[in-house]
Amino acid sequence: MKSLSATLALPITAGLDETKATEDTLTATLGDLKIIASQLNFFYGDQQALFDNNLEIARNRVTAIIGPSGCGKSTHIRIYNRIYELYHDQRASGQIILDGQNILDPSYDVMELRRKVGMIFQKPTPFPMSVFDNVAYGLKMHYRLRRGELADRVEEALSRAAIWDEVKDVLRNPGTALSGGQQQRLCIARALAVEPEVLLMDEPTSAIDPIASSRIEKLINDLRSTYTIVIVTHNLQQAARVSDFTAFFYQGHIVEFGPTQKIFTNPVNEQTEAYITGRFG
Amino acid sequence: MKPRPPTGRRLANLVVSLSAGASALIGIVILFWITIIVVIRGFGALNLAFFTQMPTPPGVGGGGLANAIVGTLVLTMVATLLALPLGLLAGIYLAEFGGEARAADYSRFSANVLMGMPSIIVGVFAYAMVVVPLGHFCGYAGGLALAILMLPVVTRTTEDMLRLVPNTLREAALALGAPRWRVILAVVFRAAKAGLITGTLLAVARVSGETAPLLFTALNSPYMMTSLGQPTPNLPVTIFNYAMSPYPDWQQKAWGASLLITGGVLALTLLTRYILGERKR
Amino acid sequence: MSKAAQASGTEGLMPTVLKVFRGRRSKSATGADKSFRWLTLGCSLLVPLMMIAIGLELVLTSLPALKHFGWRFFFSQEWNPVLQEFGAASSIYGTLVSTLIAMLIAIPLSLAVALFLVELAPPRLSRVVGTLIELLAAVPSIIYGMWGLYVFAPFMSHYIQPFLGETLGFLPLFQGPPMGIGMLTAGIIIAFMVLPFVSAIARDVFSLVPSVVKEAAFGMGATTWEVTYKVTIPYGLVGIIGAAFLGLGRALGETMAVTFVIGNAHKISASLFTGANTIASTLANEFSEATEPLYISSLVALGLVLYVITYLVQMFSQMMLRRMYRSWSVGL
Repeated sequence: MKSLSATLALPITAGLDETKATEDTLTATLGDLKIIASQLNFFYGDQQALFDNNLEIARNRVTAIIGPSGCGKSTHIRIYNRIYELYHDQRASGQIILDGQNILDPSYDVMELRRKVGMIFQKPTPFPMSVFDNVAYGLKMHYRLRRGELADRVEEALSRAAIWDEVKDVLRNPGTALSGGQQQRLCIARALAVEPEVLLMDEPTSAIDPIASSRIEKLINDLRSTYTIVIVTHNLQQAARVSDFTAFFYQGHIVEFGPTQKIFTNPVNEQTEAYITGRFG
Repeated sequence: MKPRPPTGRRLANLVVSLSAGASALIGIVILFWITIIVVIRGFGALNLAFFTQMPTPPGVGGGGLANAIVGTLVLTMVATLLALPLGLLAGIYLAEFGGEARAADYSRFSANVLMGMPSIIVGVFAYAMVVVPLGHFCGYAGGLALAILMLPVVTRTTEDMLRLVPNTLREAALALGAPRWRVILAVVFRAAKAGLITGTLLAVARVSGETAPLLFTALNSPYMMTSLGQPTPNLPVTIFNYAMSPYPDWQQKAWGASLLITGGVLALTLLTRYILGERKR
Repeated sequence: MSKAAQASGTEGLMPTVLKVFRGRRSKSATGADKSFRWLTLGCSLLVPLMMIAIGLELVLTSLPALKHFGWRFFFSQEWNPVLQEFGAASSIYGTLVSTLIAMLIAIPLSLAVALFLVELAPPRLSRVVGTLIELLAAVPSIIYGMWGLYVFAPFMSHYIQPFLGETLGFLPLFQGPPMGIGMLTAGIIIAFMVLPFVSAIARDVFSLVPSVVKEAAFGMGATTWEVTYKVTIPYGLVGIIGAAFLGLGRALGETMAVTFVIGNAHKISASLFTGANTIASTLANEFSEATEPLYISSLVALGLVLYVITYLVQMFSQMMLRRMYRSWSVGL
């Protein structure tokens, strides 16, 4: 486990004792770490977007990433499943340790990484196939299934995503025929089907209506004990409701990181406080 | 669930990727194969005589295709003089007035269909319209056929280019009190000038290599053209006649003419690409 | 073939601007505007008019032959200018088979090229290779014919056809002397002529699939091929069908290249190695020589068949392509 002192932006007036105490408490609170990101830098072509990011994601907890638009939140979590590699001019440097292995190492199997680390996007992205096939997509790719097992696994995933009852009669309908909120839960079911360990959620409810959003938040709550969840959100109330830890990003830097309670009630950094209280962003 | 080893999937991906690359390579190979053959076989035929002298009987050797070159230039010019103004005006209607109206839509659809129509059918039409009433093959019929082929190309590119001109320009000119037709002809045209020129060049390139529509309209002639009311010598039909003949010197000339046409068309095409590319910057 | 047009933008300001200065404009200017509008409208109707005129003309000129021969015109292989006996069967057969061969080659090839250019190649390579492929469309048909007759046909007869005869010779398709010219060679050359058109649209289709959807598929750990055939292609299926039919339309009408290499034989045979003819090649070879009205009328009847088939294929293709481009611009 690494110290987080580099991440905490220390106000000039903070006493050393106070810092040490905060560090120890944080370390203790974080507990077992699932992901350790260190010295992450990210470039779009020649332009640098992330500067020396260090972050620790606690196992089986929800970590929220907040910050104003364009501050690098999405860019950061997109490194965790190396989805940026699709684009020739994007590159990342640094290390991300997942269960003891550096996933940014070229020799790490990207396909297995993406099974372990699932991603939910802002826009629901059902594939052009039936509801059933959407969920079966990853299952058939990563697993050898006995006869009948596929249907069971699909049902299990849809249940875990709290959407089974709504779709059990329309499994053969196209995934795109569902409502926005249902599509997003379908995407979650699709991700859950392959038994991931981490779920990355990039503003999962910003394109969904409020009622459907709250269902998804409840789902996140139900899922937290089984999965490690990292959620990017520009909705501060959502971050406060849903997460255990919060990281505040600004212009590609991680300004402050700590337990959500603390960040929202007693932030150490002035910028954090300004953002939380709505003075900018 | 047993995990599925990724080797099969990786292999399939590799095979497909290599095939994709190979396919692109095949396309390029064919292009170069044709170009190189045409250059090698045609180069020897292109001497001064080729451009300045009249055709000689088969087996005699010497001589050139001056009449065919002149004829092709004249026919292309006639076609352009017919198609350009009509196509420009049609394109203006579609871009400036027609919008999404039914008539405009049908016009666009027809243009697309005509562009995909076999050019020999257009030749049949010109034959019926001009050659039959006149009683003999003539250059006018050939020019008409080529013009019909050029028309939809000029129309479509005019419309595309005019649409690229921002509306703010039109509004500014109109706000100064200018009538619509002046705004279009003076202001919008000037703004789209490069695009319109390239559109015309593209249409000319496309049409200057066309053989089928000339086969029974302008036909061909071994003499220098005196009037468009008579069969008019031209390069494409000459190539056809000479290539199908059993005489090596005629076949050699056919290759020379092929090189001339191919070089001209490719040069025009690349030139238009270059101009359009420059504009984008 | 890129979609260079952007939407013509809001016309919102236009009426206001027009209203504002309409009072200031002189009567003649308004009149000139109206005339100009009518003029351009007339010109834009020229093309549809042309299409209709061509169709009418073909029908009128082919009527005598159709009346004379009746339905058997379409099923008879007979083609004898001396006896004035004409039948369209071999031409129609040749057109359809050569087109079929061409499409069987061109469609997978085009999809593969599009896959390479959009998903696999780095941007600069993709641009260069893409331009080169598109140049295939700039080469005139007669040049394909020259190359086909003098270079590719001998190549076929020396290497490819003997090979096919040895390996697949049990099929009647690949029996017979490896002449070089014939149905197979024609079909292959047509495929290369059609490739740039179909692959250009397929490129558009692949690029227009939203990156979020592709990312979601890749994000599940899929390979590029898996994403392409399970997500990208189904997503853009409408466009791909449109592209295929566009290619089909062009293949049906290829004239000069086919005329050079197909051998001009008015008979139907099982072997792809033998000579044949298409509607277009027959017209190219015989029209200028035809003098008898029945001969000409029969030839034009062939042209009418080609016109109708091409029109229908094009119409279908346009329908598909419009649906694709329209739904993309509306957004998800």
